[in-house]
Amino acid sequence: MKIAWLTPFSRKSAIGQYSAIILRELTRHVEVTVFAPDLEDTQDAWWPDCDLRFIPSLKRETILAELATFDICVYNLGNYLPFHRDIYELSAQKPGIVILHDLVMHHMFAHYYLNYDGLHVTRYTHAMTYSHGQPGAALAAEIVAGAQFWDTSLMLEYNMAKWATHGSYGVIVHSAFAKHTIEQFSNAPIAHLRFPTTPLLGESGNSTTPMLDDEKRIHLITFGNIIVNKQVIKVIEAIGDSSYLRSHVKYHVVGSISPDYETHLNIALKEYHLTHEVELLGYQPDEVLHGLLAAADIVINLRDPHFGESSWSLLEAMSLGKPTIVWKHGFYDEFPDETVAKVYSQQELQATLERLCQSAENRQQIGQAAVAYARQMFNTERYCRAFLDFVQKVRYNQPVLALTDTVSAILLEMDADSSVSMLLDPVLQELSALLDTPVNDLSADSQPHQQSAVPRYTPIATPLPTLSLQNRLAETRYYYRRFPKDIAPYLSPISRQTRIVKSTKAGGLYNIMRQLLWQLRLDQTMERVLGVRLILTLRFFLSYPNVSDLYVFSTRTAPGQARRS
Amino acid sequence: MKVIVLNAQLPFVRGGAEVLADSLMEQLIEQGHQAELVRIPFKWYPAETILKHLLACRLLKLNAAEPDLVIALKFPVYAMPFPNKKIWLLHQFRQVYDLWGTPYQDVPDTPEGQRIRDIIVHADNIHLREARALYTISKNVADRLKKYNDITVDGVLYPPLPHSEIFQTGEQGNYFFYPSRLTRSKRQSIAIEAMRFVKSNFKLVLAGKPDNDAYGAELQALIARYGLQNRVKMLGWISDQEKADWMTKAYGVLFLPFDEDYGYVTLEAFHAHKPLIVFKDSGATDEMVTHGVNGLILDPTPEALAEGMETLWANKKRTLSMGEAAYATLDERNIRWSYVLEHLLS
Repeated sequence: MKIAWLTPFSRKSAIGQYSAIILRELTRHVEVTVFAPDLEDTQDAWWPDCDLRFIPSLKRETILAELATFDICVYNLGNYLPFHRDIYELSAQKPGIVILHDLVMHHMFAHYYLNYDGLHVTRYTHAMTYSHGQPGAALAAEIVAGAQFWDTSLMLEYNMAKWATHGSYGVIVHSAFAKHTIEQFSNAPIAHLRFPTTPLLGESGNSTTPMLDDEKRIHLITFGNIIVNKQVIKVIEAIGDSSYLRSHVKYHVVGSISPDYETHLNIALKEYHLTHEVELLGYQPDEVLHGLLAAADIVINLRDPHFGESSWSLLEAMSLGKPTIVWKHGFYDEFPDETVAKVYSQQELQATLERLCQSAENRQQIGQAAVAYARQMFNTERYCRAFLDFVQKVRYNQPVLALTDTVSAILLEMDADSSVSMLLDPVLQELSALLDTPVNDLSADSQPHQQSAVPRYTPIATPLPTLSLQNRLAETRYYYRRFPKDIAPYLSPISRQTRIVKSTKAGGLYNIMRQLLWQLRLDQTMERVLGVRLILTLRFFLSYPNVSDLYVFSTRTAPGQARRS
Repeated sequence: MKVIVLNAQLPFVRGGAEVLADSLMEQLIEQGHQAELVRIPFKWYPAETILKHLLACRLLKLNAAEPDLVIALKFPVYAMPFPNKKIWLLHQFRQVYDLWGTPYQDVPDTPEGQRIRDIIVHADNIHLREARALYTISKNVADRLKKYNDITVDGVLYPPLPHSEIFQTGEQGNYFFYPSRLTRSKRQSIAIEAMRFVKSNFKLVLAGKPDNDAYGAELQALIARYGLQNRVKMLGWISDQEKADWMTKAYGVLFLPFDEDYGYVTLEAFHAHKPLIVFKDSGATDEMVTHGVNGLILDPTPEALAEGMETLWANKKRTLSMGEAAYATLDERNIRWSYVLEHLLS
């Protein structure tokens, strides 16, 4: 079997590290070619010797042509646009298995549609509607109007994971929480695989790293990308409010921090007079980080709100036998209570910190339970076996999903939306009859000849239920209708062209207006007033027969930057 | 009666199925019925295309002109729904049944291919049972339905030979005749190799167009390698009349395919009062040939074939009577249109 594995693969990417761990084992069983969007040579690759393609140096058609030669394509998706834009776009054009590393993909898609390459409000709204229905569209409108929900739990609710996995033939996640969430909407097979072994598993926790020179204190550490929901601020407050902690701990915060957030943290440190007790170390190379980690007594791995992620850093901490404090929800609550210290309030955080700092025995118990659990549950060989089993299942269902998608495209070409039940019903009925029933599931009573079927073959995997196919048929048409350019393989060129023209005409005016208003940053009343005038003006221009392109300028846009709409 | 004959179509290709459909049409019209031949294009590669055709057939409706009866002949057209549908099955999509696991499988043995296979089997289990009556063209095809789908057919209707009148009895010539497409599964190569072991003074005449040039060249090379240029003649493509002429003057006829569903060559030989030599693994031919009565059933080896031909050659009188028995077989097996139509139209 030949697998195309699309992943960020530079040493800045944790998903790249995960991929390298998997692939070293996987390539013992199957052929794998890695497609990396963040590399132009092998220099910075996690595994330079593997069969590697550099997406930035290849034309999109060349990549798609090569992807077509593999038995299955595997797309590693996270929520960081620079690493995952190419991977997402390719996954939409050549469906395969999506390994969803972050459940909350909203940040990436908002960046993608609203900032990255111009303002695509309509596309963003369609994507939100597809993912979360009318409430999604309403939230999209608020966000487009400037609302800032990025660090709130609304992101978990409006995660856009459905959009990230649309059209896929299978989805892999690394937590039961993510699986449960995706099961609510997915029309493809889903697997929850437990992480592979981290390279740190079983390494000694003793270190004499010179950076931890204050041996008398208990060393706390938080590491990774330091963003708001890691709640460093809560830890600072917990230390600041506890006279015991103030005098007994040293807290190291390791990882890149945005300048704004760093300023915010520094203000808090000054307020609590903790500038000596807490160190913001910024990004550190792996060897430094691992030294600090090995020397730390307690790891603080909080996420509040959590974004449905599965934390690789938690696994690393546990693999080193470190007692780790987590917030009691999502992926973090899936670990047995004795293997991590779970907190669910500020008071609980402070109390837990004090308890752990006061009891070396307690720290050791949790650390030992953690490493034993990691050893037992997270295993690269087991991961790869489960992965390959899942690939079998996905490939077994793939012809069915592909046929459903083709039918969707044909129905769309015929302009048959869900209201045309006279066409949809028989198609659904026949599709279900053809595809749904396992070979050995025929009821003798329903047969005119009153004979029972003798299955010669045992299905190698479970076929998908009817409901999944019905949903897929409906949702794929929604998707094709609104994103015709993304679905080149299924629509005929003429239909594709027609759709693009139609969608531009239908959504164009609104889009142009939103672009202008976005740039003017008006309040809602002004937006409505100006919006109506703008629509009338623009409609006048567009109705003029010889106008094919309209350039729109706002007072805040330099003429040279005007976008063609 | 308004009858639709339903067949699958590979444009520009004409084989036994097309001949059968045309013959059935002729007979229906001759009997005063209003008959229409409907042919649905079918492409089976790459394998996922099969599902699209199957679904398309399922969605097509035949009741526009309110026919009284639909007679479907092949996969996937027999999936087309119609209340009074009868199936006269030439064969199923054999690649997912008896040919699975053989070099003729076509559908890849991957998880995707296995799902496509499972869907076809599942669809057959439904669609074949929907028919008001299900007949096959041979017991061989019926046995496969029983084995793979647990379907018992309503009967076997052997297709009569179209234009059988051109095949006449004639003198016993000095050659064995093997008319068939030159293709690996018909095993002309064994017939050529058999001539190496033949001591008597008879010849072998092969007629038929090669499926591909490579196989044609391979057979020519075989003849040259064994120095059989004077004993084996390759005619290439010949017309039906020419074929009938060669058949009439043949001493005996060979038909050596691997697991054939039916094969008109059998009928042509019988109409020409010639005994037929077949192999034990030739499929439905053993439904027609009784060893030592109207022909020979041999092991599929050049040596066994050479010995069989020598046996017939040594006893001309017995061979002649076997030819008469062959002709009588046509009646014994009800290989006549009146019998076929009686069942299809009842």
